[in-house]
Amino acid sequence: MTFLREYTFLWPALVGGLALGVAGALIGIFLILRRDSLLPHALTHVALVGVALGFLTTRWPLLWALGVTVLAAFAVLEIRERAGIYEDTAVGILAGLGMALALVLASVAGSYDVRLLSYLFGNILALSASEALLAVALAFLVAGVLASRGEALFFVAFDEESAATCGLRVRLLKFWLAALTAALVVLGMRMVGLLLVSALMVIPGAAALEIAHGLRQCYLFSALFGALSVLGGLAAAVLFNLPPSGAIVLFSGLLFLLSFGLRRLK
Amino acid sequence: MIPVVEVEKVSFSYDGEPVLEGVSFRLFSGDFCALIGPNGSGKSTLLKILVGLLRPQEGQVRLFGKPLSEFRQWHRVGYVPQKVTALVDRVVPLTVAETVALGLAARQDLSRQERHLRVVRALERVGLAGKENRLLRELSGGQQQRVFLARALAGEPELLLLDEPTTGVDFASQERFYELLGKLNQEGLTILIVTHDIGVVDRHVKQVACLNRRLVFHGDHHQFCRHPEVCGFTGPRHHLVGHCH
Repeated sequence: MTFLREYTFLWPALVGGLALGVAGALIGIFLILRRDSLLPHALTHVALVGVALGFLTTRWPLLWALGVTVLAAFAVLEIRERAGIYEDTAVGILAGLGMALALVLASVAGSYDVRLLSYLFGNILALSASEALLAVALAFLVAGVLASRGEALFFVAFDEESAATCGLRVRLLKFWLAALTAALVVLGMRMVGLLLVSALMVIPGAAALEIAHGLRQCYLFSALFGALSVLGGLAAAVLFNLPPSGAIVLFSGLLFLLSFGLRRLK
Repeated sequence: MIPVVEVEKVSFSYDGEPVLEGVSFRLFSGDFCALIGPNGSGKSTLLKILVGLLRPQEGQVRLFGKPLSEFRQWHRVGYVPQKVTALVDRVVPLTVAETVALGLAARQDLSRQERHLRVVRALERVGLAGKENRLLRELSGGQQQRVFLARALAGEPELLLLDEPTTGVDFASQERFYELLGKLNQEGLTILIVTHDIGVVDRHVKQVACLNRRLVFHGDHHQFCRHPEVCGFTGPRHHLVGHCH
């Protein structure tokens, strides 16, 4: 505790990081089961378009990123259903086009420099108190959605066709999932950078799915692994002077290896 | 008496390629009907229209007397889709009870206790009582199929629709599955099952509807064996099925 009193700048990183780590890991389960693990990766590239638009208009890059990313997430859903394109093809096209457009816009805005690069790699230690609070609010929203419609969301992720025949509003549920994913991607981009945010959303969920016996355990392990990744990564970053985003994702990778091994030992 | 299922002059095509043309038939409470036909004859398409996954381009479907566009009581309909067991891979963490409870995901009106009771009851009906806490992926293909049947039964439906439910399941499990359906039918459940297995028609169901884009035959399963047009596309091997009384 003395350590935390001394390093007060760590508080927003710790609070915001934990909130995003847990919320991202929980949403990650649904993405994996829908075989949509690459969606956050593609969305991060589109989020960069929003950031570039923010540079171009000289204000609110994160708000721009949020708007553009949510729209892109909805667009992916529509393209898949209406255009009959393979899911990974839609994701590949979106990621490529997003990054290309972001680079062009940033160049036009004259911000093709270190400001843009800061979004590529993120910096959790630079998280402001208001960003940390936003992350906590988002985590509560994720928890609320899962508490009220978690079973329905899981049904849609696991067996969409049957879910639709039960009278569930599948389209609405998928939009909820897409919107939450987009919001987590944008805030996660500030934290670990757009190159690593998808890993933080997918790896803890994948680790939980290796060892969970039942849905409740799956949620529990996923949240735990998300939190441990942030805590372990931050601690390693501070103690060994490592880049926090890399340390956090590497720590989540270590947890995945442990649960992968544990399952094989069973 | 209001038909449970009423299909009236239904036509459907994929990208201009007709799959169903002017199909009409009715099912009444307590019917147990097999929907058969060659590959591409529109069986699964018709079933998807019945559960609201596809909209017919022509014609109308009524469930329990209500046009499909106005039908909201989906808890009265249970559905087991094609190849559903293929969804169960090594990462799916669901227990048997959780899988069955998914069938009640839209029923926010039910209390936790009522949901639990319905899950237990559905598992008892399919002969899987006591396996609530087993992981779904640890069960055999036949047992998984019965879990998905229990999921469809959890809402306590009056109409059960199944799309080739025993694909990839061994013969003994298939037989047990169809015997189970027979028992459910005797309890009053109306059943429409899509199948390729013509032997099932003879051994287990009361009625047959035979599709080949249009409805070729609908009636008693005994008459089905003798129908000349049916024998034409089921092939000579099936023509020789010798259980017609």
